[in-house]
Amino acid sequence: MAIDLRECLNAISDVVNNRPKPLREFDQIYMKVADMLLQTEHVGRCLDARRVVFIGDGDAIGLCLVHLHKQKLLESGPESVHILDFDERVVVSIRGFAERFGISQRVTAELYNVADTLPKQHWESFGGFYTNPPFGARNGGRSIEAFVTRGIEAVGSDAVGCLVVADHEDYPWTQQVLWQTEALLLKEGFAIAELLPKFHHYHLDDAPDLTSCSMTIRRIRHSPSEYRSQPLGGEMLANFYGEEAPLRVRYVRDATNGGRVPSSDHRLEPFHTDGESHEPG
Amino acid sequence: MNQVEPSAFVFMRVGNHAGETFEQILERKMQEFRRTGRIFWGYGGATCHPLTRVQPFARFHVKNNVQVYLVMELIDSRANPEILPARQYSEDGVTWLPIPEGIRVTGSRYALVLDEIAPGDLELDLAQYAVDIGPSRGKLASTYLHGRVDKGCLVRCPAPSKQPTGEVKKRISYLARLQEPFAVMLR
Repeated sequence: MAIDLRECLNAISDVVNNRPKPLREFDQIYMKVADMLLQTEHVGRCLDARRVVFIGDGDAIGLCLVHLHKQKLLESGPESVHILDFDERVVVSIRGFAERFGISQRVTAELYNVADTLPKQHWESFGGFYTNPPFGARNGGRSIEAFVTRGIEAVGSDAVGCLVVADHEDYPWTQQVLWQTEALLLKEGFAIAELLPKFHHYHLDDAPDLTSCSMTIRRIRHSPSEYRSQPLGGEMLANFYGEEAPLRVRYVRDATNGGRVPSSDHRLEPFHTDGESHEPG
Repeated sequence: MNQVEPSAFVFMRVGNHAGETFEQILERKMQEFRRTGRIFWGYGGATCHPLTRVQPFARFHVKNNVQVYLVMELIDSRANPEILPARQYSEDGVTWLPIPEGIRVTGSRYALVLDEIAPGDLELDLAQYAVDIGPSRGKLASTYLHGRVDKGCLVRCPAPSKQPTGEVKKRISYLARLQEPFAVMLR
């Protein structure tokens, strides 16, 4: 199916315009817009007709998937997405968007930190998962392990997964992290079904050329089991964002009540009609 | 102050700022140190975030008995942000405390926490140092520090660089050792 580039980009723009500002203290770094469209089109096919859980989604790819599919701009798309994120601003913005665009039956969001056990009702209950975790540059990919583990816990037999992992040959740590992630997935009974190398770019001040790959995995080996999700261990928490960079925050809380409280990041200066010149300060 | 080249440091370009000459800032900061035993050195930008870059970088090296420094290259800067003094600081982004009595830091989102600032007379070849933290980890400082990227958490390369790059010499005018908690957020 050919896509209508203008309509698709405008639909992505709806989503981008709805997102909260990224917080650098948590490595929230947004994907560039054209890459969001390519990623949405690609994972829409991988996750077609499935109930999908997102383990974190600052980029708002979950919203893009349903928004574009609902408008018939993309042929394939998930049956539903449920987004788990520790940032209440993200959760609230997703709910508000879903309501405004009439997709709240297909898009839901919940406050959750991967350091905690997976909510019991989600255990092995989805047909697919998606995650774009912190890149793990300085902890050998351990932060990726935390997010992927929750994704694996949330899906049943015949599941697929979509991962976004740093990938650029000029950044040697990315190849080490990619290898470690692949090793974890193989150990957990998944095959790497597809990998699009260097597929996305980011708004990253000091590494603007860094890219990530889009990895699709398929569950090969699985025995359904009773709920046994565990909180992250002490060592994992101590190095969550990298060596000596511990997890210290459970949730980011939304101080704007979904945008209903006025912003405090600007002030208004009056326009004077007294004829005096008022230079900008 | 030890004038041996430090092996782990935050590199920063410094100059006039927020309506003060660099000499005035330095004098004010030295008074700050005499009164409080520490200096809050304000800065901005996204490449040396206190929580994700400076603190983990400094903690790692201090744990391994390596002192971490701020090394300052004096440039002709006329940065003139709005002079709003910070009222609170935070080591973790969660708990905010009043700026300690005797410390004044203006026009900055973050601050390094320093010991005494000492004049230095070092010439560093940035081609012999690499970025130690963040996505550019391993990149030579001589290629990393360009354009809008003007500061970084750097370490001496374990072996002479094989990446194709020429010498990039920087004259270091002042140094200061970082002290716990190494860097803080301001508001």
